[in-house]
Amino acid sequence: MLGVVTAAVTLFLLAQLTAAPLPLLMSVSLTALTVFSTVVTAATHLRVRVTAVAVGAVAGAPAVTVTVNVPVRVSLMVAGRRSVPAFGPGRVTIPVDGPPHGVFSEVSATTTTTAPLSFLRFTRRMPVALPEPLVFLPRRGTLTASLLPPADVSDGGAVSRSWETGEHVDGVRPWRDGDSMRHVHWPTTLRSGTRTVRDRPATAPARVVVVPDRSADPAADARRVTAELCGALAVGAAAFADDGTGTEQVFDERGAARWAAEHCAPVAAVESAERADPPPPVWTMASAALLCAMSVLILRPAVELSWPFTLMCVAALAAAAVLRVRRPRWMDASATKTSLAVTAFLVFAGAIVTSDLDRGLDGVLRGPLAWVLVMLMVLHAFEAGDRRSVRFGLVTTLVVVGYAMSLRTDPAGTVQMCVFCVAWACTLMASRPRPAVRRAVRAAGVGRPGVSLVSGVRSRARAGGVVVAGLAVIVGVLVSVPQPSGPSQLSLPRLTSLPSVTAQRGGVARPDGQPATGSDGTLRVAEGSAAGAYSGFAEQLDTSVRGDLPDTVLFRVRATSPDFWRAQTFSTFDGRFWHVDDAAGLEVLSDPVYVSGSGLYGATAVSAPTQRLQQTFFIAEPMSNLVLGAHRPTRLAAVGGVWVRPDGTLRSTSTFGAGSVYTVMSTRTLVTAEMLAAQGDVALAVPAGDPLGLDRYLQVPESTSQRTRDLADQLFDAAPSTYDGIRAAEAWLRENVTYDLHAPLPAGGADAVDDLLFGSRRGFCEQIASALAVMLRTQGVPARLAAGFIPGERQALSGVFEVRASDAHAWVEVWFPESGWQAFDPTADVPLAGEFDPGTIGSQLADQLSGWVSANSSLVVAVLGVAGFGAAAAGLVRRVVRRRRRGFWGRAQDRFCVVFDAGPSVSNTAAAGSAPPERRGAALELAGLLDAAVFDPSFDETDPVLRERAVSLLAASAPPARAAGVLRRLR
Amino acid sequence: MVRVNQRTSHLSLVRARPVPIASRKRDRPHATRVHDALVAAVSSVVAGNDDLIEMVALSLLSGGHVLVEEAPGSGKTLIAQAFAQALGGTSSRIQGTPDLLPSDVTGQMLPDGDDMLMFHPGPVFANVVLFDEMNRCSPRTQSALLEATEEASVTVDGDTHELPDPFLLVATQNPLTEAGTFPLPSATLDRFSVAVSPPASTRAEQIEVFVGRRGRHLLDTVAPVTDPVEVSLVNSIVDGVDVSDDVAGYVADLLAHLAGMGEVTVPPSTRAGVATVQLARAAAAVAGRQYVTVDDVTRVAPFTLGHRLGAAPISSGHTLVADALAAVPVPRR
Repeated sequence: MLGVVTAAVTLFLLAQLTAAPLPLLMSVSLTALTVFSTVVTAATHLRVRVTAVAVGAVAGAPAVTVTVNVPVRVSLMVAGRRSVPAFGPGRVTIPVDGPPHGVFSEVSATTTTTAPLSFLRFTRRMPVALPEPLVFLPRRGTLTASLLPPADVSDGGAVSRSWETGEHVDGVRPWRDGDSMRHVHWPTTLRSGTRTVRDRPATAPARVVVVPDRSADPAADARRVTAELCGALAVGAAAFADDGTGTEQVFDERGAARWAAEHCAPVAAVESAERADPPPPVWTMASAALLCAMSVLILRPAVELSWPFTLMCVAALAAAAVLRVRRPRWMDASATKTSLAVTAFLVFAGAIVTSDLDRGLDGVLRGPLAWVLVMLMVLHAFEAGDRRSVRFGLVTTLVVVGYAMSLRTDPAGTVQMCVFCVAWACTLMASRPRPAVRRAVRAAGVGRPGVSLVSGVRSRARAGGVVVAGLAVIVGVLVSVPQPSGPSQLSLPRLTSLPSVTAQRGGVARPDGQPATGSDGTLRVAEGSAAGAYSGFAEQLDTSVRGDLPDTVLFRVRATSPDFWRAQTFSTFDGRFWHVDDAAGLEVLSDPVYVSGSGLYGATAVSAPTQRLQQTFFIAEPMSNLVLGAHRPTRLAAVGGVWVRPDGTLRSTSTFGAGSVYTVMSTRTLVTAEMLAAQGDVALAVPAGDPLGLDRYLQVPESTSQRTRDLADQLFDAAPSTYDGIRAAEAWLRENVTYDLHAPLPAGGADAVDDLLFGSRRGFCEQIASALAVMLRTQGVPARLAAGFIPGERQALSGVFEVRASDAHAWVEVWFPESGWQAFDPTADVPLAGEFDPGTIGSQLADQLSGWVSANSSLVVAVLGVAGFGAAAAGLVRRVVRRRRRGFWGRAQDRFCVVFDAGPSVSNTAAAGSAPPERRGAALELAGLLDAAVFDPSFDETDPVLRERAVSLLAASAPPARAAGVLRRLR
Repeated sequence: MVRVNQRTSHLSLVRARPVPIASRKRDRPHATRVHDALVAAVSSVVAGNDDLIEMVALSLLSGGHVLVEEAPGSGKTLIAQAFAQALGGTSSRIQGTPDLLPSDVTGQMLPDGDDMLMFHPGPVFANVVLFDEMNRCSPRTQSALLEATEEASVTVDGDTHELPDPFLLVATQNPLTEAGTFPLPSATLDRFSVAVSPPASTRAEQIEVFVGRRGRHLLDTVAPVTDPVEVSLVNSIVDGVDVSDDVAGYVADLLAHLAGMGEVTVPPSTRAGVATVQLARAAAAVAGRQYVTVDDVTRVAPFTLGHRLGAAPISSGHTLVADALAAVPVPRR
């Protein structure tokens, strides 16, 4: 079941990575594979247990019998010495090559997965308690100290040979009163006819105390102490050992060795790491639910099938089944070989199908590499039999999810990310190890009354606490993590989909590749194309044509800060039409394209601080060949050639179909309002002789009326700087001109600006922007019209801007001597690069949420009120029903369980035994009463005396602070 | 090899006879009193071995039999003799050897005078029988006791002879690692309601024995604290203790959980549950109750189930049962 967690998370990644049908099919197959493996490895809870220890092996290698329940390789380690490994599952006997000496109550078991599909070899170490301590004695050959030589006795025979060490004597003497019968020397007695006893040598001390030498080498000292104690025993003396805190008598050789082993050398510390714990059932349920949800998410759009993938997945499935059921003989010898074979098979097949040579590095990064990691995690999930593997999988999947989220641009990713993060955090917190409860029970004794057989079942409150903690962790991470800024510069994504090569070299093309401007100079709108409907995406812009633009999402932009996504600029204006420069610029075929610097194309010399802004455009609807991007693009990663125009804008040699991706790196000037105002009158800064090519941006149409010039003079003469003049002009336009998409068109031949300012006073963005541009040009300030898109709506989590066809826009760009071209817009706010704070995901989310709540406050209040009222009413009804159903004794049992924290497998008496001594008597009596209520058939539940007794006992046994509350809930 | 303790032999007296069951109000202290007196008498002689003494007492009062897995020299014989003496009944001791025959245990037909074959009862005809090192004798002799343990009777040459009542068999087995042992088949193991594997005696207990405060020499000081008739009466009291469906269901859950554990090679039989319930009845009666609670079951379950799981040594079976007890939810209100 633990594999399900990892598998579910991994499958979630598959949905994250991309929405293409091939990966979806892959994920479906992997779902099947995972379910299959989950069924097969239903009991992969790794459990190692020592079932027997061969006791009595004085020297040499004692054998330890170990039982494991999954196919793993087990080796035992005692004091740093690892035994020969043995293979599970089942019961295996392992000879332990132990240390020179020591007493061990635990061994460290190292398990390694040998199952066929685990090409990640996981080694895991856990301490395993021994049923009885393992004693390693010093080698027998070292016990050579101070044994006395055998002595002759009166009958002439050497008696020492027939006696064991420890009964060694050197003489006999006649019986004296008081002698023990045990000391009778029977051979001599029978031979001589008089009772004879063994005599101890007069030189033997009656009592020998051996003290360990702390300064000596522990192993050598242990051998010395053992030898001296054994020597004392051998001569019949009472052998005592003194470790400084007290003396202890030893009675035999084994006791001497044990004492020396325990006191002379520090017993090797066995690490108390986590034990193999089964996951709590609540998380198994949660993971199963997550798996179901993910399967639904994945299966829903999986309608298109692809037979190579089907074949590959079926083959993988069959291989997995065969390998699991029938393990070849060579597999035990080298599990690595199998793992490599399976891995290579899967990776090769996946790479063949998924990789596309046209996509280049980006295709590899998006496709096979991520797939390899995902498949690796799924395969690892087959063997994830313990918590550590699950944690490993979780952390890895978080990395992959982060990678996927940097590529995702659709809004569904936000919801999925939220679900994933909460589930991820909760699973991670739930996979903490639990204390070894069972060991405590074992140490306390078996079956004795009063011993609490505590089970490790988590309470509902604790599970809720884990969820709350997980949410808190997620909120904390969201608040501290900044908005994602997209992939690194190493992998500027680029992708082309359904391109049409432009028919006219360097010209603006419609999405179908045909020129956007007809031979007569009029706009040729492509039928049925949302992106082609805007009049600004052509060689000329007619200010009297208004577009009727739909709300279709045209493209998405991943960028850290908003900006105007500019398509092209117009330099000359004839009173009605804006025209782009005739020069097509340079055709560049390198990848990526480095747009040359400021000097060549003029008017872009910048002395203010700059900042790089990377924007990745994900095209959703077929678009023209105009390359969008914030001003000023310096680098472009796109498929195909690019025309770099004199004004710094870019046109591709082919159009961008739906699904295309390109990345623009722009160098923005970090301007602020103060910086712009400080540059004074721009007209004075325009250099004479036109070294920067600015003169064409000062051209004023002949049809410009005098009252237009007068208005401009009036607005700009009063302003201390050009910037303030522009702000004044914008304010004037906002005040006197109404933005109206249905404004009346100017009469034929009339000047569009004059008509707007003094005629209709109604217009749309092209006309308003034209008016500002013309007014600026009359003041000698270089200005031009720019066409493109406003930033669009930003998604909170992914930081992606969603741009619609109706976001198409035209605005004014004004040249400033220090900061270059700067966008101004009388109808919308222009984001200034130097004043933008990207913020964090959490702040964005909070802003959106608070905005939504304030917009729908009455609805929120109503819903919350109804929900709260309903919950309260339901809780009340439930409580009443439950109280009635449970009855008095049931409620008393409930209160008892709460007060004494009695788990489901703890009996009442055992729970009461854990009460503090002053209250234990009452608790035990209450437990007996509750037991009687259940088990005694003659118990009278309605007896008021018994009820009163139970109430008083509960009051007496509960902690005083809680007694009142307990009694209140009882009645 | 076979030695019958004839010191207190009164076989004819211990035939069970119907005893009127007194009212329940007076029954309760009866079982408690008999139990406490027996345990006190035995404990005054034997040092330590609390679990063993307790389980032997409960088995005696519930009509079960005890298997002890222990190294020699730890006082098993003394316990059996002390029980027999405190009981006021007979005791005998059978030493298991490979050449021990069934007739050596049960008794046999021998010529008596002129051509008459008379039944000479074997050592099994005693209130407390200690079968030492049972797994050293052949399986044939081991199975000679099956009828005795199950039906409290012995059949020789077609004649069925009733065993004295109460009849308690205390068998010991050496650890299976020793040479020359026949492992007891699980069918035979199943006949023992209780198996105990006492821990090694502690230093303090050894001192008690060495200085003479406990030990064999005190056996003569044990006076009968009850008589077989009274023990039979307590037997019938124990049989009358109520077992609710909840407790029975708990035992069934315990057996099912044990059967599902990976380390259990032999799933416990229904007879295991019967023995558990019966011993829990005795524990309840001894505690002065007329009904069995979960605590009675958890008290006796390790000893009644540990030897039936195919686990060796028996102490590891006890651990398995403890694990199961920690996992199975208890019945509650």
